[in-house]
Formats: sequence, C-alpha cells, structure tokens
Amino acid sequence: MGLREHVPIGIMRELHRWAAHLMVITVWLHMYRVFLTGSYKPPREFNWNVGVILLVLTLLLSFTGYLLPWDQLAVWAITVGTNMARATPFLGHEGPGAALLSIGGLDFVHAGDDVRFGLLAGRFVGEGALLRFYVLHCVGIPLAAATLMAIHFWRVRKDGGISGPL
Amino acid sequence: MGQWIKDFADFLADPIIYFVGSAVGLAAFLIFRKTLTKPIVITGFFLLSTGFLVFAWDDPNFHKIITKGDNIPILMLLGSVVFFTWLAMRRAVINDERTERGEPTLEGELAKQKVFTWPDLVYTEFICIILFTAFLVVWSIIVEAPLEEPAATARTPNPSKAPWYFLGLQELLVYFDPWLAGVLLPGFIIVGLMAIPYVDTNPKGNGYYTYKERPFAVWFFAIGFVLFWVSFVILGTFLRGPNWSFFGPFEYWDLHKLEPMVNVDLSTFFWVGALDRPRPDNPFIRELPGLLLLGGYFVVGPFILAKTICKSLFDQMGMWRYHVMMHLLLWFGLIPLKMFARWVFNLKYFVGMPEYFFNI
Ligand code: HEM
Repeated sequence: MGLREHVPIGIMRELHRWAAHLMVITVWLHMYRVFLTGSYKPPREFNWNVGVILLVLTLLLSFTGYLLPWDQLAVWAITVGTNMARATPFLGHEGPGAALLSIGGLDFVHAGDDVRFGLLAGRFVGEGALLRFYVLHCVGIPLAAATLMAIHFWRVRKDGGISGPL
Repeated sequence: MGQWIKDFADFLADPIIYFVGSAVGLAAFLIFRKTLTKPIVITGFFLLSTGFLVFAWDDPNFHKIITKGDNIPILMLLGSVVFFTWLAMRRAVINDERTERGEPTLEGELAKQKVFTWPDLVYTEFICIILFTAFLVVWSIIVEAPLEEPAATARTPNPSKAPWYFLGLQELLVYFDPWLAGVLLPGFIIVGLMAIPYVDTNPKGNGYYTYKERPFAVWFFAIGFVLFWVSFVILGTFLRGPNWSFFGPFEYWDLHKLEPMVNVDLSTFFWVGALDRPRPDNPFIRELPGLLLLGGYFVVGPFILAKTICKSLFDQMGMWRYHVMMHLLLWFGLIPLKMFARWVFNLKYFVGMPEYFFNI
C-alpha cells in the first residue's frame, strides 16, 4: 500500500502533492473572499455552512494523505497532529475531566480506548492507522466532499447565482 | 552591509517583534487604506520582496529553508494573501467612494453586463485549466516531492512538525496546553465560522467589497485570518526549528539551541509573590485567583459589556446572539492576552491544575 508512493512514475507524485497544497490555499482564499464580499449573508447562510464543512474535509483529506508516503516526515507529522486528540476533554486520556470518568479505580478513558486510539486504530501511528487513513483518503472523504461540492454548486445557482449588490 | 541586513532580518523575525510588527502593519494598512491601496504600493512590495529573495538566495541557511519542496507553496500563500488583501481593500476603498457619490459599486457595474455560461464562461475556464496544468507540470518537473527515510517510530526527528496548514495551531502550543490549542480552540474556529452568518445581522455589504459599511467585520476577519492564521503558519514553517525554538531566516538550525523557560503560574505570583506565603495545598484554593479572573472574564465580562460599551450591540442583536458572539470573541481574545502575559510577565498558566490536566 505504501509501496504505491515509493514508485514515483515520473512526476505523478509531484503533481499530486503540489496540487494538494494549492487546494488548501485556494480554499482558504476562497473563504477570505466570500467573507470580505459579505457573500455569506442571506440567502447564502446555508451555503457558507456547506463551505465550512468542505474546508474541514479539505484539511482532513490533506491530513490523511500526508501519512500515506509512510516516511519519517509523514509518520511524525501525523503523530504530532493526532497527539492533540489525547487532550480532548473527557474523551482523551490526558484531557481535562477524563480522570473523573472512573469508578472504583477503573478508568473508562485510557490510552487504549480514547479518541486518539479511535483515530489511529492503535496507541501509536502504525499499520492500523495507515489502513484507516488510506481508506478515508481514497474513498471516505472524497465521497463526502464530492457530495457536498455538488450541493455547494447547486446552492450557488439556487441562491440566485454568484452574489452581487442587491 | 550584507551581514548587517541578515542580522537585522533575524532580529525582526523574533516571534514577539514578528507578531507585533505584523499586527501594526495590518492595522496601518486598514487605517491608511486610501494611500496604501495605490498600485505603486503593491508593486513596490513585490519588487522589494523579490530583491530580498535574490539577495538572500546564496545564504546556505536561508536557501535550505526556502527551497524545501513543501515550503514553496507557503511562499505562494504569503504572496497571495498579501496581494488579495491589498486587492480587496482597494476595491473596498473604491466602492466606498462610489457609494458616497451615489454611484453603483464595481460589482454592481459588473452585474449589469451579463455573459453566457456557454461559451463565455466555459471558454475562460478551459483556458485557465490548461494554463494551470502547464504551470503544475513545470513546477513538478523542477521541484521533487520530498520522500524521507522510511518510517521509524523509534527515531523522533527534531523538529517534528505537523503538516504546514496546522502549524498555526502548533504555534499556539507555545502558550496553551494541547486541550486548548489542539482541541477546544480549533473547535471554536469551526463553530465560530459556522456562526458568522447568524451573528452578523448587518444587512449591508452583501455581494461587494466595502470597508465603511462593515468595519468591525473587516477588522475581525483580517486579524483572525491574516494575523493569527496565515502569519502563524509562516512563523511555524520558516522560523521554528529544533525543539520548536525560534530561528531567524539566516540562522543555522542548531539542535542545541535552548531557550530558557522560567515561566511562573499566576497562583505563584499571587500567593508567593504578593502574599509572601507558600501556595495552599488544595488546588481549588490555590488556583482561586486564576479561577476568579477567568470567571470574571467569561461570565461577568459579557454582562458588563452589554450594559456599557456594547449596549447598542446588545439591543440590536438580542440576548442569545450577543452571548454566543461574545463568548466566541472572548475565547479568541484569550489568545493575544495569554501571549502578552507570557511575554511581559513570563506567565505560565492563569489556572494551573495539572492534577486534572486543567491548565489555562
Ligand atoms: C472544497 C472546497 C470548496 C469548493 C470546491 C468551493 C467551490 C465554490 C465555487 C466554484 C463557487 C462559485 C464561485 C465562487 O464564488 O468563487 C463557490 C461559492 C461559494 N462558496 Fe465555496 N467552495 C469551497 C469551500 C468553501 C468554503 C470553505 C466556504 C466558506 C466557509 C465557501 C462558501 C461559499 C459561498 C458562501 C459561496 C457563494 C458565494 C457567492 O455567491 O458569491 N465555500 N464555492
């Protein structure tokens, strides 16, 4: 699975990586322009929210893809990123409140069942995480994002086309 | 001369000077927008930047960090954010003047000239796609995508950085614990973005650039996006090295550079510093000053503001909208407050309860 990325076919890896970076930047700039033109105002509130979800999905798409080369850069970037989940209030084993969720010394939230474990399918970034991220990157998130993009474009038309002075 | 410029650039890049400088720059741009949105200003900016790049190119440390494959898009991010901020404000200034004279906005003029999707739009899109693909191909031939050694969980690289688009959050880790920097604050960003259309009830400025009709909104987003998001990404990418220590653009990434950390909790300031006695054992009594301070900030603050300077806002927005917005803004405001408290007083935590992983 990781092998796919280890066999660069000419410039395919480059095309994919640089375009992915540009997609993140483009989505940020798009949001910036939509904000500064006030295009989230009625009747476009709904589409702005679809956009925010698309923004999150774009970042997740990029984040899951970052792991797939399975090199030092990838694994440690994802380790740093997912370490945060440990500290989720109540749901991460180093988060505030997690210690309260225990009965008679039996912890409900520990390193083997907290949200970080759920993200990584393990206590550290290993095979399970690679499989999980691969499926999310290639199937799950693209399907969700494509559906939302369709809704996004449909709403642009339905809300009276691109915004302009009323 | 060359060395002097490099030293000066390293000096300017120091996190505090960098942040305060960017803040002052952004504020100056918004305030003096009439002058600073002249074409000569942006031309000058890009000429100077190019000149600086050419000058700095030979420096081994600078060269290494600037030409890293993954860092090239960040340079593009910097350039495009500067350019589009300039462009948006330029159009806003022009629109504001036109509105004052009773003329339609630039976007209003445009809306009058309708064109067809087919062939006009599709044709333009087609050309753009081809040009963009050509650009991407050339870029990909010139710059190779990085591939480091195979993953080894036993060897931690230093620095370990999150992907670049999360470096703003990693930068917050300097000031906040992970449950805030990595979980709560990002959560508030997403919720806050979603809330924007519902808390901003100003009907003006819909569909065109303007400053005068919504100054608060413009300041808010410029500060949030440009100053706290983009500028932190740039700081994290180019100026943070091993151990997340700060390194100037011309500085060598020395693994052994250590920045002394002598940060002190608010509770120590209060009990030991002001009352000259040991800190109480009970964490809740010990942290009472911080808890009261933050309680005042989050719980009492919005009510006082509603009665005083934000009275008209409160009346106009209604109770629920007002409180949702205020709380989101107060969380946002906590970031610069903590940063300044750290810089000025070496403050570690307002409330530090490691017993419960509850540190703010
Ligand atoms: C995968 C990410 C996204 C894609 C592919 C996408 C695509 C588009 C396109 C093609 C348009 C019409 C042209 C334009 O206004 O530029 C549009 C409009 C719009 N987008 Fe997005 N977008 C994305 C993310 C976002 C985000 C992050 C936001 C805001 C948080 C957003 C909010 C909007 C709104 C409110 C409009 C209507 C603007 C208007 O009518 O002027 N979108 N989007």
